[in-house]
Amino acid sequence: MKLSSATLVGLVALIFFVVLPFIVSDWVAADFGIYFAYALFAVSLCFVWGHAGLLSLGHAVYFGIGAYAMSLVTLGMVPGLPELHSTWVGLAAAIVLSTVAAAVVGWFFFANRGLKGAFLGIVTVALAVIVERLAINSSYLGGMNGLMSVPPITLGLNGDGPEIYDPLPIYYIGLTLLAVAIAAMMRVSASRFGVSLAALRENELRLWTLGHDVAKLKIAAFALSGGLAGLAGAFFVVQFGFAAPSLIGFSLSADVLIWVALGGRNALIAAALGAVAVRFLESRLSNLMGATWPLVLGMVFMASVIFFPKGIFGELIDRLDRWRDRANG
Amino acid sequence: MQDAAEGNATSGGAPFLEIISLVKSFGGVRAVDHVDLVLDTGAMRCIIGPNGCGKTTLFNLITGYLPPSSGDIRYRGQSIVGRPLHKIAADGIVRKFQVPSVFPEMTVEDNIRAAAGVRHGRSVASPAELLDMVGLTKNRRHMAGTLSHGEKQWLELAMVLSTAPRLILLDEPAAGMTRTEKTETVRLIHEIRRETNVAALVIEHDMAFVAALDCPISVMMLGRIVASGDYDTVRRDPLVREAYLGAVNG
Ligand SMILES: Nc1ncnc2c1ncn2[C@@H]1O[C@H](COP(=O)(O)OP(=O)(O)OP(=O)(O)O)[C@@H](O)[C@H]1O
Ligand SMILES: [Mg+2]
Repeated sequence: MKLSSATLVGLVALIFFVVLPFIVSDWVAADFGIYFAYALFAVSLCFVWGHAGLLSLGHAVYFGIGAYAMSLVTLGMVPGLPELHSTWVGLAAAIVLSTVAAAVVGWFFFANRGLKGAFLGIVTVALAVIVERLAINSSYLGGMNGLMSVPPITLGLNGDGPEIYDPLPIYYIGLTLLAVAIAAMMRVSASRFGVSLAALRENELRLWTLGHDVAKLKIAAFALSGGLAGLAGAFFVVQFGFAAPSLIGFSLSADVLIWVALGGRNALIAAALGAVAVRFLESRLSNLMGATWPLVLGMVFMASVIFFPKGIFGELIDRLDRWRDRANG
Repeated sequence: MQDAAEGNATSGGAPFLEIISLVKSFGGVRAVDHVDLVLDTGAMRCIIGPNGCGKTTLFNLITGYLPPSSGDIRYRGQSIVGRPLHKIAADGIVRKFQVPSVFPEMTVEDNIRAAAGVRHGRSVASPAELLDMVGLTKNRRHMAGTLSHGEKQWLELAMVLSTAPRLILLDEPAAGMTRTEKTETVRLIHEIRRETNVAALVIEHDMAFVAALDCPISVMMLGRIVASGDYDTVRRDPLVREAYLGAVNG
């Protein structure tokens, strides 16, 4: 079977990231563990926005729910269960809660006639702002300071056993998680459900009048994406050790939008590479440029929207596609 | 292909489709004005009439896209007024839009796959057979947006058929087609009806096309049905001659 150009780029990127730790220091690799969490988050947004055409401007809500859920469980803060510290329960809680939250939000947004386009965008922004305020005002969640000293991944069933915080294992866990998530979401995108979501993006009325319950499709897409964002948040917080209100709010929601748009929202792998590239450059350039970095990022963003509307890696995949088409006659 | 007998499973001898005194007003304009229409299982009828006489609005009402101002639409013995769009479609009433309506940034094949998601146990030809039927097999890996206007019309027809409909509403299925494409479309509609026994309402402006479909015709003017009958009867109707056919045939 012929591989798609997105798959080819994904495989090349995978090989690159597998060998990268042999080239750079462990200290650099440690940063990439965090970038992979962000990349996973970008994949979740890319699925719902790029593939299903539903613009969510408040996607950090689900990332934040995942991060807080993991933190609360591993810190033993679940009400009535002070003995519970399991990374695995934390992981399950992160995924389930973020999925349910996204499904409930999706139901409010999309049941009946549903919100569309700019309205959907505005309401999702408002949601992120509100949830961030709630987190800041909640003493249970640590208020402004958030939850500190979140334990790393612990292999035992209930917070016992070996802890994983060395950069290299984290790096490869992150890379595996990301690769598996992208492969799985590509499978979903190509399934009948996924094709229906693409059709939703292309022409909602046509799909609806062919007999599809478009509200249900949208809610399902939102829930799936939310769960993936929650997983990303959980994997982030076990490395970062700290869950703060900024993880759940507007600013991170805007960041992930930029990563996906810059990388390319037409392909999950492009969005992931966009997140890694922006975060990497940010860590390098913000030292050099200081306060001018956000300005530079903003300008690069605008330029890419104008010159590469499909995103930088999205454009690359597109050109590769056309080149292979020509080569095959 | 769809089982012909299954389409007849209408309760208690009620007509397959019955439109009763249907009205739709937009502000002061009555786009559909007390329309009555009956269609039997597996039957076909053409609806003709000048621009803006309410043909598309009638389809919008039948498919649930717009709520009627008054009147009723009964389908297989039950009123379908107020049912959600997708339920009406899932029950077997599926339309082809006046402006060809496909999923442009998806392959032709995936257009059919997406369309065929819902068919509620009714059997239907495979996507490959449908593409073959409308002559788009060679284009199956192309983006639907790159097809010609006529090819998009055929693709949308195949998408509609992939849902195993009982009633298809075709809004100007030959609009923007060349003469040969129109001939091919007539052949296609006859083939579809022979093989699936699907009922059809067809809106069309081109009188040669309507004549070739060889079915009863209803003529609409200013929201009302002003004449009904076969092609020759309708042609002879003085009102129709003057107001519509006269204008078309010059
Ligand atoms: N959603 C709407 N809101 C207001 N007026 C409408 C609406 N839809 C249709 N109309 C009006 O209703 C009348 C009938 O329009 P309709 O589209 O049904 O005509 P038609 O017979 O399909 O015409 P054509 O042959 O040009 O397609 C027109 O005067 C049109 O402007
Ligand atoms: Mg019309």
